[in-house]
Amino acid sequence: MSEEVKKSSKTAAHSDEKKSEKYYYASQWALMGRKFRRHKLAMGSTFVLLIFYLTAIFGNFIAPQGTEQYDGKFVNCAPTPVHYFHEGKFVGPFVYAMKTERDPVTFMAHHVEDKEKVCRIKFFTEGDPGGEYKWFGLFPSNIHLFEAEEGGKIFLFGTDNMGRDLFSRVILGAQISLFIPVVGMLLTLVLGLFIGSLAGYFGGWVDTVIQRAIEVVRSFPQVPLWMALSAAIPKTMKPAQVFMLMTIILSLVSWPGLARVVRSKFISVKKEDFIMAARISGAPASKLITRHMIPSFLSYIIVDMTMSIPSLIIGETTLSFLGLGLRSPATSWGVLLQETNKLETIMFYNWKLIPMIFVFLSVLAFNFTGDGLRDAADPYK
Amino acid sequence: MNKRVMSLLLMICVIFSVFAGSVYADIEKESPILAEQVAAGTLPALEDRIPTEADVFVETEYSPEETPSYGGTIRTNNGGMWYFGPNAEEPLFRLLDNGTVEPNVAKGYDLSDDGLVYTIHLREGMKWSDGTPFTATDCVYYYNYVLVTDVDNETGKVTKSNAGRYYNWYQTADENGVMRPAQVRYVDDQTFTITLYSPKPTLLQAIAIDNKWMFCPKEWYKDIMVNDASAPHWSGESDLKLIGGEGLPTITEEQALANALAKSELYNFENAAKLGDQLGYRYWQYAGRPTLRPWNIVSPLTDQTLVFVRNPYYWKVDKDGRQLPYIDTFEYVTMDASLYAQEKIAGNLDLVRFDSSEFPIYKSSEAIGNYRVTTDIVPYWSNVSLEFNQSYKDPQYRELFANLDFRHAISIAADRDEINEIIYNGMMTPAQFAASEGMGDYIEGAPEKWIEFNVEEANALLDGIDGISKELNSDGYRTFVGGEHDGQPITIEIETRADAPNDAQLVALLAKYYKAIGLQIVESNNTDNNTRNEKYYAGDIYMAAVNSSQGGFSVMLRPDSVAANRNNCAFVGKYGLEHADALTPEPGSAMEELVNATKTLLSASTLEDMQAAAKRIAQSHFDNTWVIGFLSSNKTFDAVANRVHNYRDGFVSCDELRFLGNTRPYSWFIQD
Amino acid sequence: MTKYIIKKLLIMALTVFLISLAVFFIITLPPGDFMTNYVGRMLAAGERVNQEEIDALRRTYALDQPFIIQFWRWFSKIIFHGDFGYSFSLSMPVTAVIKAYIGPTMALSITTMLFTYIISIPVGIYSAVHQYSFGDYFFTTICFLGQAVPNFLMAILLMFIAFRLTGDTMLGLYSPKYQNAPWSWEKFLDLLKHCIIPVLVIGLNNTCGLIRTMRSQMLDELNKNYVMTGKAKGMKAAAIRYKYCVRAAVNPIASSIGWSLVNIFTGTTITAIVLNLPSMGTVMYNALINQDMYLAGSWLFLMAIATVIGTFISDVLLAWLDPRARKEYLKG
Repeated sequence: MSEEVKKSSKTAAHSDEKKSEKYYYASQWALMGRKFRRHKLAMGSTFVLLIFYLTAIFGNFIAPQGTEQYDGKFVNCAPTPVHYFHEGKFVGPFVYAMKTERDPVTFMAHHVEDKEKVCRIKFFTEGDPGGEYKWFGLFPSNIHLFEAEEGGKIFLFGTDNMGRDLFSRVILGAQISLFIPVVGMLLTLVLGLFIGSLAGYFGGWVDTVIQRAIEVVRSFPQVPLWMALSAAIPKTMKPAQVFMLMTIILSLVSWPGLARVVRSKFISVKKEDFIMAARISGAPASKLITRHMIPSFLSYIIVDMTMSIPSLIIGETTLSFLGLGLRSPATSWGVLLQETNKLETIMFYNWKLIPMIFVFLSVLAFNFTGDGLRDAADPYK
Repeated sequence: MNKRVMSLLLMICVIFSVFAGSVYADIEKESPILAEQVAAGTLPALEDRIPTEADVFVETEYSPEETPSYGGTIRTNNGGMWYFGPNAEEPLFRLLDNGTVEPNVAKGYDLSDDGLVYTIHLREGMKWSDGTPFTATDCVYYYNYVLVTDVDNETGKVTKSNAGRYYNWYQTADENGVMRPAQVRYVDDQTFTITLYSPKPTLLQAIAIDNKWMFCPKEWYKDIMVNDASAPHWSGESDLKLIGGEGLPTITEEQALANALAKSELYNFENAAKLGDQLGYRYWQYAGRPTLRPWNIVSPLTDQTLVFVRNPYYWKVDKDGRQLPYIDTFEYVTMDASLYAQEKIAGNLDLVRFDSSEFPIYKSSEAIGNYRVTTDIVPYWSNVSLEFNQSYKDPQYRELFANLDFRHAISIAADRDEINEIIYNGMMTPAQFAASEGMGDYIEGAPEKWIEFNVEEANALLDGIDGISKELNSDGYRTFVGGEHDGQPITIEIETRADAPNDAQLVALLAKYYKAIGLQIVESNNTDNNTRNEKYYAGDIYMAAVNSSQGGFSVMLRPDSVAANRNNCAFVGKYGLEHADALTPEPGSAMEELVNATKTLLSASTLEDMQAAAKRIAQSHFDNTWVIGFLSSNKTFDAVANRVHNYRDGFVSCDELRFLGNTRPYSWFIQD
Repeated sequence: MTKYIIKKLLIMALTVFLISLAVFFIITLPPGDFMTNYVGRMLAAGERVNQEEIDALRRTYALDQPFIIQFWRWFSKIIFHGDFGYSFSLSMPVTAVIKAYIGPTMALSITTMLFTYIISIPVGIYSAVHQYSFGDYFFTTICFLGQAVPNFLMAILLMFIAFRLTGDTMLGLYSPKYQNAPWSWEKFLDLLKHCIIPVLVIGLNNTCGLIRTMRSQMLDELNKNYVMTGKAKGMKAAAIRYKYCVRAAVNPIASSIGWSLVNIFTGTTITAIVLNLPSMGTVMYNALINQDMYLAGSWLFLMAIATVIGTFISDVLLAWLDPRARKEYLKG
């Protein structure tokens, strides 16, 4: 064996050692990340969610239309096919201009392609007036990712009964439907941690009172309680206020579950040696709770919360669908699905079911991500 | 005999009876289910159930040409009591499409030469649905003990809460303009009189439109209607002369409630007012209450499907002398309005009514659902309209709304064609709020006034209005100049209706149109009409509202939605004469003219005066565009199952003519 | 055990009182009150009403009184007279409304629960025994999908499929033909046919959850030592599985019956609205929309009570099956 080879094998062994050393010294979080990355389904789901959230965040830029824009000439228009070849020649992505015809007997409008007029799809273009938005609520702009040339219309997912682009509405709806659950969850987390730790740490009458409160709230069936509370939202409220109230309602109903878990964790953690040690070294209660106790079971809580997001998504969608949550022109997936509560809509305008796919995908993705996180957080796996 | 033989015999019997039924269909005078009961001895023979031959109501105009067989069930949606009620309503006199009345429950009437005494004749042998005779006592009792119990006889003012409000229609003005109630008296079992203080030529129409049933089964009611010292009429004993026949027992509130509950557990009411309201006025919702209607409810209101079965004592026959109705049962299924179309298409409903926004869906599915689409004529002044509250509490806004140039601008800044295309499938006609050609209140040029879409002109009109800015603020809105709102953008809240899903769409469009002339529009979304109506009552706390079915059949006969009489008419607001806190319009103002015309109409005692007053009201709308109309189509539609026959295509449908009731449902029949 | 039950019962009573307070607070939340809505409907129908009348009606229903007085009127009537108040919109006592709807609601819930257990226990066992087989993957996927689709969407989709297959949407519980027909074999079959969609929709969520629990419980049991012992002693694998493992695995599921019933009971709410079932869900929804406060409140109250009772049953069952839980509770 030559010297060189020996050397290289030595370095390899060294790096191996280093790796395992890294593994043994890795923090709990790094370990979780490692395990999580091995879970393919969860990784894929996280990727899907990442795309969804990024799309929602840059929604105003990606969506060709704003929430209040519509095109009266194209009501209930089927998704526009995007073409690449015109009369056998490649011209890049384009759509044909559309004409609207009404059936003389049924008055049903049909939007048909005018195969003569080619309208190229332009990217990073100035949108129609009305499509103005602000980047992160600060910098005004009207640049949109894509749009058809003058004369053409591009509705990737078709339009609704006001001639609003469903693709845009799905994206803008994601800003509500994907964020209400997350904000709601965070609120739940804060409430649950705070109340649960109060009960668990102090015990005694504080604990008793909180326990009773938890029991009362938990006694209410979730969906009917959501319905009752949402029905009380004044109808004249602005969408932003409704958004806030919805998150509050959602978390109001779900905090007791978390608080209960936190409380029991607290009770068991209280007896652990490291807490005793911290207490003896004179750590104040607030520090003891936030620095030592909560971090010791936070991973568990986070998994739990991720798993609860799907039910919040379904909750928001359901409430809006029933007309108890957000209302048009504010848009959320539930609002979009309101139009599908009719057989005839599915019969004649089946593209209106598209938002459903997104509800479905995001719930599934959260479920898988949650599963992956749970497995990753489980030290025995 | 063994079972097999028994069932064979039974089968033969069944086959034979079906066969016999079809062969002798032409001589079948009543529904087989009734004939069975007659044969079983549980029901009197037909001739003992219907009025005498001279007095029976023969429906000739609506009788089908064929000789339909009896039976079958019609299923439709439960659109609430005001949907299933009018379908089977039988008024004393009924209003016809041309605005005249004809006797219905009544056989006829005589009017004294001075126009003060109406003598009403009833049909001999007519019976309530429980078989008790229907007589003049029932009419006189209703007026004096059910309708008027809440009214102070001296002043004519309503003192308690319920039925009294319908009493207005029997009042006439005296020399000083004070409204005086009518006197209703028993003559004999087939005759009673209505005596007015001064002539009211449209009394019978008022009865036909506003107090359709001026009768109730006295025998059935006498134990459940409060009749004690608290009743205005109370003189210590019942007035035998007044009602004829037997006297009335003394009934306290507790007794009334207990007696009602003893009749049926469905009559469980909290107090006498509620009882009077529900059983006295809205009675057709309660099983067991005798009526004169062709079908009566037999199910509790909580049932998902309300079932109405035929009245064995119904008093109308067709041209061949066969007892009506042909159809045995009506079912009204409670379901969300969003399900109507799909249930119709799936063939689970026989009849659904809809407007042009849903036309393509229904029309395209005719073959799948095995039904046909028919058209109804609706005599409203506008199908979609916008009104501004002339009595809005804020002076700056009120002044703006009162400005005719403002309303002119609002009218021409809206793109009626686009509204038509987006919401109504292009099936309507752009039109101003006005009676359309061919209607009695038509004024030439009114439907076309100010409907040309012209944003520039609208902007110019607003520029010319004092008190608001010509320039737009940073958000693109005009602002007020001077006054409390100086520098603030003009923001108008428009009230929408919960039960009209198109309203939200309309206001979304209007918001866009009015932004182009610098006005900010906010939708005040009322999910169930409650807040909206509370606002109407307060009279001055809402700014504007979208509406449909305003105006109507005849200003003279029913001025409610265009004149200043009611307290819930959106543009009139607090100027409505019935408003508890009514405002007096400024002298010389256009509103004063409308209020005066209304007053004149209500107290006029000759037909000419009434017509003139009605004309003034229509003219006031023409001159002032109080209500901004967008579209008019004068049509709604029905999807009618193909198995339902003799359904009248093109009937006039409106509240005054009782909607579907105007097709005379008792003359429909079912043939698969 | 008696001590445990008594303690639980006392806490239950307190919880019920607090619940009622919360319920009443919720139903007085909406702006405006029932009266305005009632008036609204009268107006929509072309009726005449004036302000005096509205005020009089408000007084009758104590709508002008402070919160605590309104609450006490409501609560004392329920407790002392079993009177849940009056439904303004239906013009009848709430008790009568509940009586009219509780039957179908319960029937639907119980059918669904039977379905849930009949499906989930065998499927769970199958999945565990045949871990990582095609069948296991198949059921696991179905379960994930079933939990990912909101109830109302599932209902709409199934309705559409039903329409495409049979030409009927299968709304309600009976076909028009049998709606008012007397009971017969055909009517019963018709009812069963109409139950398919609601039972599927309402039950799917719960079934999916139960299958997953059953599967993991069963897997735990299968890996326990006694299985090995049994095998070593020469018992047949099937005998061990079905005689011992299943029994042990079913325990926690059986004790969750109380919660399940409540879940299904309340789960009917939304499905009932979409499928137009004559269930309390539809009534509750309409009552909320109409601000018929006594009706909406009573229903919410009843459901909360049902949850409390369901939890109680589950707790007792669990304590009975597992003495550790009982001890811990009495200690803590």
